Amino acid sequence: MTKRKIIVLVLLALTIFCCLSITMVESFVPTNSVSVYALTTTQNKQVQQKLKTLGYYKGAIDGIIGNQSKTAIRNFQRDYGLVVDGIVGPKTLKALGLSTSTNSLSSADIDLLAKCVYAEARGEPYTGQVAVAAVVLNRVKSASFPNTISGVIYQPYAFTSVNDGQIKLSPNQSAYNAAKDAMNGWDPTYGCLYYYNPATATSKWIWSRTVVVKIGKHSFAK
Amino acid sequence: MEAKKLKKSNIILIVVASVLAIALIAFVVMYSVSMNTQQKLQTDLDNIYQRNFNELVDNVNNSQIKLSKVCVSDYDTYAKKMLNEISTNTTCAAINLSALPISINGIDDTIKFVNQVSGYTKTLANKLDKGESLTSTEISTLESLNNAFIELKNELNKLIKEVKNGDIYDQSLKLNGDYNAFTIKLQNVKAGDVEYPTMIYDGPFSDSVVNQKIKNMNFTKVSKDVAKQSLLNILKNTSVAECEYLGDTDGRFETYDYKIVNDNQNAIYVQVSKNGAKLLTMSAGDYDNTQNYTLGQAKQIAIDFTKLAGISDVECVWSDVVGGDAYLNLAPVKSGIILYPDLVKVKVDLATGMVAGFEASSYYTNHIQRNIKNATISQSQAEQMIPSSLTIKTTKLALAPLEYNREVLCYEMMCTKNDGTYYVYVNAYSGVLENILKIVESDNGNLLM
Repeated sequence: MTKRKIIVLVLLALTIFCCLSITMVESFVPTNSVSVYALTTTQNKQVQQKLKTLGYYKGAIDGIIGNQSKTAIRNFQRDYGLVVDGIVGPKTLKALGLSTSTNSLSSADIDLLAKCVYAEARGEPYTGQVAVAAVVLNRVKSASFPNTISGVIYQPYAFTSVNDGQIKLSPNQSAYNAAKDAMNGWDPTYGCLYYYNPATATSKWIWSRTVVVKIGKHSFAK
Repeated sequence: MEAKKLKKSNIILIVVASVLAIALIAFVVMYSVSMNTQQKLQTDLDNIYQRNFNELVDNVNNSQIKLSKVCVSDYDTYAKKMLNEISTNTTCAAINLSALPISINGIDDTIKFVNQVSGYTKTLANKLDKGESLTSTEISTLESLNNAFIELKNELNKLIKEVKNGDIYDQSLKLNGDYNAFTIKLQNVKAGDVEYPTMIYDGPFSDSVVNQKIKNMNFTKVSKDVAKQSLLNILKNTSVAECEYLGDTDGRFETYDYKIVNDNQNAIYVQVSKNGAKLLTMSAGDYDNTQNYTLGQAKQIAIDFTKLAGISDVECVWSDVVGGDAYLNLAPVKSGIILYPDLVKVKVDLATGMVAGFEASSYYTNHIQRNIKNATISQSQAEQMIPSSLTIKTTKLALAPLEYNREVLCYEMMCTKNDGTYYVYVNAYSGVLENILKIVESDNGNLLM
């Protein structure tokens, strides 16, 4: 009985040991980007146009991927030996002869800003999303921060979502709209440089800033 | 029986010991692989930090040497060259600083100082370029900057000896409250004897540009109930099911904030100024790409709505359709001159024909009665300034906003070339080409760059 107990204990220790070692290895290896994929309306229209030309789609070219579009995508994927999931990812785009890359610098800036908005404020009301984008742009204009959108977003310790890799998520249309609205000059915070969630903020310093406005869960401060 | 039992337990022990040994070997192998990976990543990251820190020190050292040269130089051409180089060095220093693993609240003063030196020296170089000379105040500011840079340089050179052995990465990880050890070290650099002088100028990053004065908000302060009533009057063509007061914003503009819910249960967020209850910002999330209204109809909707909001002297000067929305820029036009600094931006939802976005802060910041002097060069003279590779399509007079809150009367010429459309701005008094904007088509609509 005692020996059995020893064996059980040893096996238990072994299991914990193995689990720990696997966990440690995983924690040391950098995680890959999250494989969520979304297209802009213009790209959706290009997909619909291409599917229509190829005879898979008979609906309107409206940029909205509804049931008719999804069926067309699935049929196309089946015929071209792709994974049949109804989602237009990089492989399906490539098979359709469409490119995912954009050449314009400003378009890359909007993409990055939209990624930041999505990662930081995807559960927030629309104005809160515009406000987050506006804070990034206010920092670009401010002397106390880097002078480019990528400089501000990738500044070490500036955004939690950059530190934990959520910035790699693909933004939705709402985040793109918010980024574009902010670039168009809409700033619901009127010049704020900081924001935080009072329920989760760990920084003591941030509480010393003057709060200008609260939108959704975020307090925006000067 | 006893011997058989003993043999069985021995086998079990051997099996357990073997499994344990294999697991131990596997763990050691996996651990060493992962440690190697971690070590490599740490070294890579530390190398990036070291490079930025070393470049920062180089840029500060170079800026200080060049500042001292400017202070003793009597030759404007040489001073201009040095000031331009200092501006480049300090721009790079700011980039280096912001790439280091420092808490953003730790050294924002230092980044601000370095950025402002970049803006200040660039402004002085531009002044010399126009044939003007530096004033005695500017020379004494440059001397104070030189002294501040000597202190900054000495402190940074001390610190570089401390972090030479590749431990910026280690010092960046151990957080103590908001700060890590590296931030505290850099803060000590600033807290030493470095006193940053004040720079007064109208150039990039100057405080006067950032804190732009609002010129058109001299109205009586009203209560939030009066503001709400005024808002409901503006939204009289919108089906308002609910109007909820959210709170105040006390930023550059002071506003009462409301959330409107329309009959379709869509939320619209609105900010109304406390002074005069003027509609400043309105925005609604909108994902519908249907287009039931034309751009022409959207322009009229935008102008009518802007009139309801109390701004009646504007025309549509720019429009773009992205997805299911029309983006329209409206500007006042006085005596045939488009007043671009006073833009009102409106977004119309082409599915419903409702205004989904409105922004009038530029209008209230800049719109005043101006005495614009008549142009001293003619339209044909201005058109001669256009490069022959461009074909002029239209020419208009416009008050153009320039850098650092300046504005000047220009001839705005829309031109085309094989690769697209350009807007060229020629100063209507001097004939100098002030700016060229190009329309860049992107997935997210047309942009003026």
